[in-house]
Amino acid sequence: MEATQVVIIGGGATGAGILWDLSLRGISAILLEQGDIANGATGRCHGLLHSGGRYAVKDPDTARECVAENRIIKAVAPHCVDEVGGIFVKCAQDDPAFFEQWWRAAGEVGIRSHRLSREEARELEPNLAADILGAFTCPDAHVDVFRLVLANLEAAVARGGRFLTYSEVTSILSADGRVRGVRYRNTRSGEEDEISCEVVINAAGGWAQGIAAMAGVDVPVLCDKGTLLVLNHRLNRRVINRCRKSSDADILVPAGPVCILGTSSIRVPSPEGLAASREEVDHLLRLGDELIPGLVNARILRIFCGVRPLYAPMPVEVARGREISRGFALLDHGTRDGVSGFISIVGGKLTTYRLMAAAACDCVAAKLGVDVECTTDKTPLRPAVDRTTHHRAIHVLPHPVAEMMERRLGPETDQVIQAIETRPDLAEVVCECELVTRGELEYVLGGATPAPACTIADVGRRTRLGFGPCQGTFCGYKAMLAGFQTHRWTASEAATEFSAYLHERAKGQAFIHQGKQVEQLDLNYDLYGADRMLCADSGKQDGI
Amino acid sequence: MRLDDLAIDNCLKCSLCNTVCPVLAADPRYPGPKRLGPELERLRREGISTDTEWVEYCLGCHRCDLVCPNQVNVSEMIARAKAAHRKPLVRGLRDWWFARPGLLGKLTTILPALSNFALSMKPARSLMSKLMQIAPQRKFPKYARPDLRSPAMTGNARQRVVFFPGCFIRYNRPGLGRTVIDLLERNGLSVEVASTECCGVPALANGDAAAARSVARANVKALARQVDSGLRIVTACSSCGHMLKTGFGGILEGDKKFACAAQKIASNTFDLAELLMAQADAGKLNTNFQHTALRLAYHAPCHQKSQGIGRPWYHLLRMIPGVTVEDMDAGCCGMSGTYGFKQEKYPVSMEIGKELFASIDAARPQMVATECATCQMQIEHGTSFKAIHPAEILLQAYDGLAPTKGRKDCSIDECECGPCRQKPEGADH
Ligand SMILES: Cc1cc2nc3c(=O)[nH]c(=O)nc-3n(C[C@H](O)[C@H](O)[C@H](O)COP(=O)(O)OP(=O)(O)OC[C@H]3O[C@@H](n4cnc5c(N)ncnc54)[C@H](O)[C@@H]3O)c2cc1C
Ligand code: SF4
Ligand code: SF4
Repeated sequence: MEATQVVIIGGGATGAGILWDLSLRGISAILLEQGDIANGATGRCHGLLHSGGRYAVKDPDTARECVAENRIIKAVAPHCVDEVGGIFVKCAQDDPAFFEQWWRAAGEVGIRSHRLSREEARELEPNLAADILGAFTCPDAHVDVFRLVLANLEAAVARGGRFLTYSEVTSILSADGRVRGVRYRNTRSGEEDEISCEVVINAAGGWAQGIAAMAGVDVPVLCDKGTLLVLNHRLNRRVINRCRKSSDADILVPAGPVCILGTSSIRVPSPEGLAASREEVDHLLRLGDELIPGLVNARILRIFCGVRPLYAPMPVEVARGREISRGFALLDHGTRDGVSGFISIVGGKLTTYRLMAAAACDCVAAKLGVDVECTTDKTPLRPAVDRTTHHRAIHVLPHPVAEMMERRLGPETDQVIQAIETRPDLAEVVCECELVTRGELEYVLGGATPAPACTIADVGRRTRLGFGPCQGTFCGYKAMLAGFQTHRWTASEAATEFSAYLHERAKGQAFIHQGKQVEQLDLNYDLYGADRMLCADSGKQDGI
Repeated sequence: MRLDDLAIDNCLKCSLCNTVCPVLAADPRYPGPKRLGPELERLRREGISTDTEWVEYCLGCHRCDLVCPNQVNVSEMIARAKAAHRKPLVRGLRDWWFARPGLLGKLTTILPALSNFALSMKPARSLMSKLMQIAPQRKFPKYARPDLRSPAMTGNARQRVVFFPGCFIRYNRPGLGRTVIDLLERNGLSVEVASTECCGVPALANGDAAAARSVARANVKALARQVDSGLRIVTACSSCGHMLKTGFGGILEGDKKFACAAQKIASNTFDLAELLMAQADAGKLNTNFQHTALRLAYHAPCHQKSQGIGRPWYHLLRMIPGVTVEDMDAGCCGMSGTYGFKQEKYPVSMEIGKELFASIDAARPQMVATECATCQMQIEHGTSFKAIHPAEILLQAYDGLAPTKGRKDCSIDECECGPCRQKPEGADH
């Protein structure tokens, strides 16, 4: 049985942030995640690095947290953030009183903003409806969630931290009112093992209630489902928010080459088995079309759902999704429930993940008697790509391919470029939608990276392979071959991986009812003869 | 939102466009229409710097658009990228000049003899090839006095059409313009020559969006009134026809007033042969062709194919008794207007033409008929056969004349095409 000081349950932004924070303080820790990185809400969110504007009116405390974290994340993880900026659009249909209320509140919580006339707003965002009344600017940004989680994990690994993916915690070991460790199961191999530790941190998001129950305590977490539509290309340059009381489909975020429209807010019993109904999708599209006329005709690549893990200490009957605070809660079960060495960190936002991690780690450090302050707000997560690597990259790769690789891999670009220099065939672009090279594919499948990919979908989370319009139809196949050729998988393993991947990709498209993506999926079926009904059904059963 | 903005969404990644691209076939390093078009366009909209010199290598042949089963405006996206591409100084200057054939036309008309002399002189040409990176193997067409005028109105009330001559006919081959007018008149149509500019294809092809927009506007202004009064527009150059029919290649998009008028012009523009075929279908074609013993090879220019009107010239030529026509159907000739003149593109241009050259050589015709002036240049450059506009053959057939070997107004000095070489010294060239 392995031993460490701290075990973290959950490999979302919060868990990864905690691992990094603890590593910086010199506390040894192992993170366990049941799926791949960002398997929960983190991997299924808008990726909006909130400026605070969304909460300014209703929840000034959360808004202030966002204002501060927005600046910090931009400074420490610039490679994960696309500083697109944002606007709050005043629509003719909405309550004019709210506009002024927003403007005042934004000023009070410290959001840098200025007013735009209709013409100015439409000049910045030409696709906006012609009848809007004007807009306010704000420093919203997009954050690449997978890159952010990876950056935290990899930085932590460099300082001695460890993480295990596909490792589901099945029970929490305790004795004498004290947590002693965890038992976990490798979900791919079925093997089980235990880790002993002094502190267990429950950072399992929507699953936190279940984890807490393993230690015999109750953490009331409300699962609030949100559905997001990924549109094929950017219809907007900035984050477009609708300036009104939070409601459905009022945010459109430019995210890499795509843009993401969302979201809804529906209470669900559990974070598993999520599905988007046709009415829900049509409803979101209709609302989006009010902001950007013509949006209903844009191609949807994928539809997915996630659950916001909302901490709801009040009776759940009265708590409605959007009315619960987006603030987070740190629960020390030692003082709260008499189970020492166990803490839960729940609620919050992606934007405030670092702050949540800092709070949790302050608590852990106190328990372990480690007197080191949090420095995640000052320590860059990843050094920049140096100039020589950049020059070597553009020597062997076309410019956009090199640029995208550097954004994704950062300093690790060096190793891939080195490989390409000795083997020019690695310069081949295998994912043509997202310009992923064979070099990158083999790199993330291989053992040289701190976070190797186990499945083809994992490759996607690390490189965006398969995230484009074909949704893996062509590049997924090449990834399967690469896995086989590099001896990562045997022939039959490779085939199984590919089939699993096709199903996974098909699930996200199963809720799309019209347009080009349906034809794309048909092409996929025609190519690989996948069972149409099977894919559609599995989609309905367990969401993305 | 602009509708064509969403055309990018239609791409299913089937790669069909790549299978027909002549440049990709000639040079496998070319990223191909799929990559340069819809794929990079998505990233361009993200703000990734996707600029690549390869966009310059697109011929603008529109084969990719034509074959795409999903109506993706592939080559239009590439044309936009081309317009945004930054070139080195010399090439930039050269292409600025190439984008404005009308300008040179106007200048040379002041002193046509002198400029033709200068353009044809060997030292001048080799100097140009060095200074301006122009392929030394190529020769420029001669400039002529631009004396194409609307003919006097005849007494009987005929249907009137507007003839859009384009720069080549206006400045280099006004004789062909008169042939077109004659042909139309013999078919019961009276002709008015439009006072228009260059159609804008050279500007777009050379990535000069500003020049393309300015000539497109001027053309819309010049043609709008006539179209409004119900007149049809006739083109005899396939590239002009293509440009007019596509509403000036989308360059006026976002310019509401002009775009609307351009659409109206587009739906009222007809290729000369298309119009004559329509006359034939209505039983109104003058079919008094004399027996003419002539073996022809026909090459359909890309911009003719992109108009989606079938192969009207092929059918018209076959109506002449005694004439046999073989459709080459051998892809693109590789010339693409000014493309083949560019030194760095000359090898690709010739590589693309290979298949066509071989087909023509195998067919051993007496001459080649093709309606695009630069296709003619390329065919005469790459084979030993003469290439002329089919309108000339059709017109002469009314009088029982077969086009002679060295044609009267062969525009190329020291022309090296077979017929011209064989011509005795001092013969009427
Ligand atoms: C539709 C939607 C849009 C959103 N948009 C935004 C936004 O734009 N900006 C923003 O700031 N926030 C947004 N949020 C909120 C944000 O996504 C979440 O607050 C945040 O990602 C939570 O991160 P987390 O790490 O706490 O939880 P999660 O990301 O859910 O991580 C929990 C992890 O625990 C793992 N786990 C569970 N059980 C076990 C077990 N037994 N053993 C091992 N591991 C286990 C899960 O697999 C999961 O990966 C959005 C949420 C939703 C649903
Ligand atoms: S227009 Fe012609 S040359 Fe250009 S990409 Fe398309 S097929 Fe290729
Ligand atoms: S542009 Fe058209 S032909 Fe080319 S890959 Fe896309 S869908 Fe196929």
